[in-house]
Amino acid sequence: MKTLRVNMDRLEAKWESVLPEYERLGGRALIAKILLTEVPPHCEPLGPNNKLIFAPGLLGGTSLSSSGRLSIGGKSPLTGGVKEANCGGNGGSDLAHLGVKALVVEGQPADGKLYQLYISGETVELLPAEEWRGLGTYVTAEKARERWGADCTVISIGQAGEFLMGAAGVACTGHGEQNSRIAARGGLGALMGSKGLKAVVLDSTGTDAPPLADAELFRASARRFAKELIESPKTGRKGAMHTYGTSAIVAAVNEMGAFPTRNFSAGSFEAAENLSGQRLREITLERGGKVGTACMAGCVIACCNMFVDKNGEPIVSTLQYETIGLLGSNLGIGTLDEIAHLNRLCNDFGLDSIEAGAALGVAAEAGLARFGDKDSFVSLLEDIAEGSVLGRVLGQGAAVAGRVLGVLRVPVAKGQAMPAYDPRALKGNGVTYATSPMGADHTAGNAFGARLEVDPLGTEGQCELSLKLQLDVTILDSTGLCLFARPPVFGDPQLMVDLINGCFGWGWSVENLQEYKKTVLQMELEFNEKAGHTSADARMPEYMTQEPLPPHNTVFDVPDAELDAVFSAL
Amino acid sequence: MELDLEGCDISVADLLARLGIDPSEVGIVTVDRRQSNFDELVPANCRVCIFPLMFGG
Repeated sequence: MKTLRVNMDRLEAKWESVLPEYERLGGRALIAKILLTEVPPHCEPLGPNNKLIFAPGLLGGTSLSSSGRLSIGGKSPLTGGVKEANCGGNGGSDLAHLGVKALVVEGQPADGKLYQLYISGETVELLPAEEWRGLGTYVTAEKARERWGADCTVISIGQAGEFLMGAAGVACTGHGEQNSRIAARGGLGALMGSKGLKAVVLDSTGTDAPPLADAELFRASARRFAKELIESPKTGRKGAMHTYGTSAIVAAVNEMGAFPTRNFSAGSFEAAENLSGQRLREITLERGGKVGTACMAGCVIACCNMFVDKNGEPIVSTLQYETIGLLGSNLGIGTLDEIAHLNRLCNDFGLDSIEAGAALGVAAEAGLARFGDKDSFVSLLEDIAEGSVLGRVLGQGAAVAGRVLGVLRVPVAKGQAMPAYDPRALKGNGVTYATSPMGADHTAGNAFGARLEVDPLGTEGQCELSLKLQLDVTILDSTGLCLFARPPVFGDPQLMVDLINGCFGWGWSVENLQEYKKTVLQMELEFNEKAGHTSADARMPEYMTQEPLPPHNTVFDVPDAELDAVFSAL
Repeated sequence: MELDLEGCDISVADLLARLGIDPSEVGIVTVDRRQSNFDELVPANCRVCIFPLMFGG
C-alpha cells in the first residue's frame, strides 16, 4: 500500500512509499502519528498547515465482517486538538482496495475554488467542482455518480463544510440504500472545506483485496469472528442490535435518567416510548421501510435501517440513537417522523447531528426556537445551510452558539458537544468526555451498559472504567472494526492478534496489542499537549457540577484530581 | 406487568427466574431507575425494567 498525497496549493496528487514509522499503523493510530509528525500542533485548524487525512483501518479491505470503517482526521476546528472520526459505508474498504494506506490532503487552493478528487485503480485526477458549490451531500453524491459511475463511493461535504462550520461532518455513501454515513465529529467537514475539496470519488472497480501474509490463519480467524458475532446474543440475528439498531438503547438510557432532554435540563423524556427501538422497528416495517440492513458489504451484524415516510418514501438511512437523542428529546421532539426530517436535513447539509442538535438546544434555550416545535428547528437548520449570520453562529456548534447567545447551559467538553448520555447520570461517560483526547465523544469510551462493573450514578471506579474503555476502542478505530463488532476480539484478544498476524505476518502477541493501544492514546495526548491543551480542558462544564439533573438529581462530581490522574497509568 | 411479591425477600436474579427470563440474555436491569446487579434485593412497590444485551450507539 502507498500514501497518496494531494497538494491543493499545486493541485497535484502524488503516490509515495509508506514511511517505515507509519507501516504498522492504520486508521486512528495512523492519523495520530501523521499529525504528530507532520502537522504543527499550534497551526490554525482551517489554515494551510493543517492536513486532512483519510485512512482505512489495518483490516480494511479484507473479507472480515464489519472491518471497513473509514477514519478521517486532522487537527479539529472544534477542539483544537487531535481528531479522528470514522464512519461506515464503503469508503474504508474501497481505499484499501485502491492500495491507499493514507490519503493526505495538504495546503489550500490559491483560487479559493472547489475541487473533486477521483481515485481509481488506474488514475488519480484532481478536477474542478465549482458546479457543485452549494449542493447538499445527497445531490453531490448523485452528480458524482452520474459522472463517474453508479458504483463509485462518494465522500463529500455539504453547505456546512463549505462555510467552514465547526459542526460540519464528512458524508460517505454506503452499501445499498445506506447512502449517507457521516464521519461527523470534530468539524472535519470544515477542514475538508478549507482544503477546497468538495468530494473524493473512489472507483475500486477491478481492484483486489490487499494480500494476506498468512491466508489460512486470517481466514480461519475471520470465520471464527463472524461465527461469534452471529451467535452472540448482542449482535446475532435475534440480538437487539440487529433487531432494533442503535435505537435499542433509547428506553434504557431514558430509564436510567441519562437521556438528554430539552438542552440537557433533564435526563428523562416523557415521550421516550415513541422514540424507542421497538417503535422505530414497528413504524419502519409497517410502512415498507427496512430494518436489519448493513452499511458495509459483508457485515453480519446489520444494525441499520431505512426510515420511510407514511407513503413509504425513504427519509433517512439510518436513523440512529445519538440523532434521536440530540435532535429528538434534546429538542423536546417526540415523534420519529419529525426527528427523521431533521436528520435528513443535517445529513444533506453535511452537519454532525450531535453538534447541530446541541446547538439547536442552546438556541431554543435562548428563545430562538421552541422546544417541541419541529418547524422552528427546521428554520434554524435552513439558516445554517444558507449561511446567514445566525446560521453561521449555530453552525459553529454549541459552544460558539452559547457564547454568542448568552446561554450558560452548554453541553460541551473541549468545545465539542456531548452525545446522548448526560454525564451526570452516567459518570463514566463524563470522565471520557472530559479526558479523552477527542473531547466529548461517546465512541472514545462509552460506559453505557457496563453492568456489574461500576454504578453509573456513583463516582467510584469511573476513571478506571473510562481508561479501560478508552484504551480498548483505540484498536477498533485503528483496524477499521465497528464498535459493535467488539465482543469476539475483546473476549479473546488473541483473536485480534491472529487477524493482524494473518494479514501482515508481524508475529504479534497480545502484549504487542496492549502496547499498541497505549501508544495511540499517548500520541494523541502528546499532540494535544503540544497544541496547548491543559488539565483545565479536561473538565465538565461548570453547570453540570452544580445543577442537579432530574430524575436522580445528581451532579457530575468525579473529583478533578481523579480526572487529572486518568492517564497516569499509561 | 405487576407482580405481587409481598412478604418476599427477592433478588433481581430471583425475579428473572420467576419471570422465566434467561439472565444471560439480560443486559441491564433498573430498579426504580437505578441500574442494579442481579444479587440486589427488589424492594416492595418498585418499578423494575429489564433490558436486553445491547451497546451504546
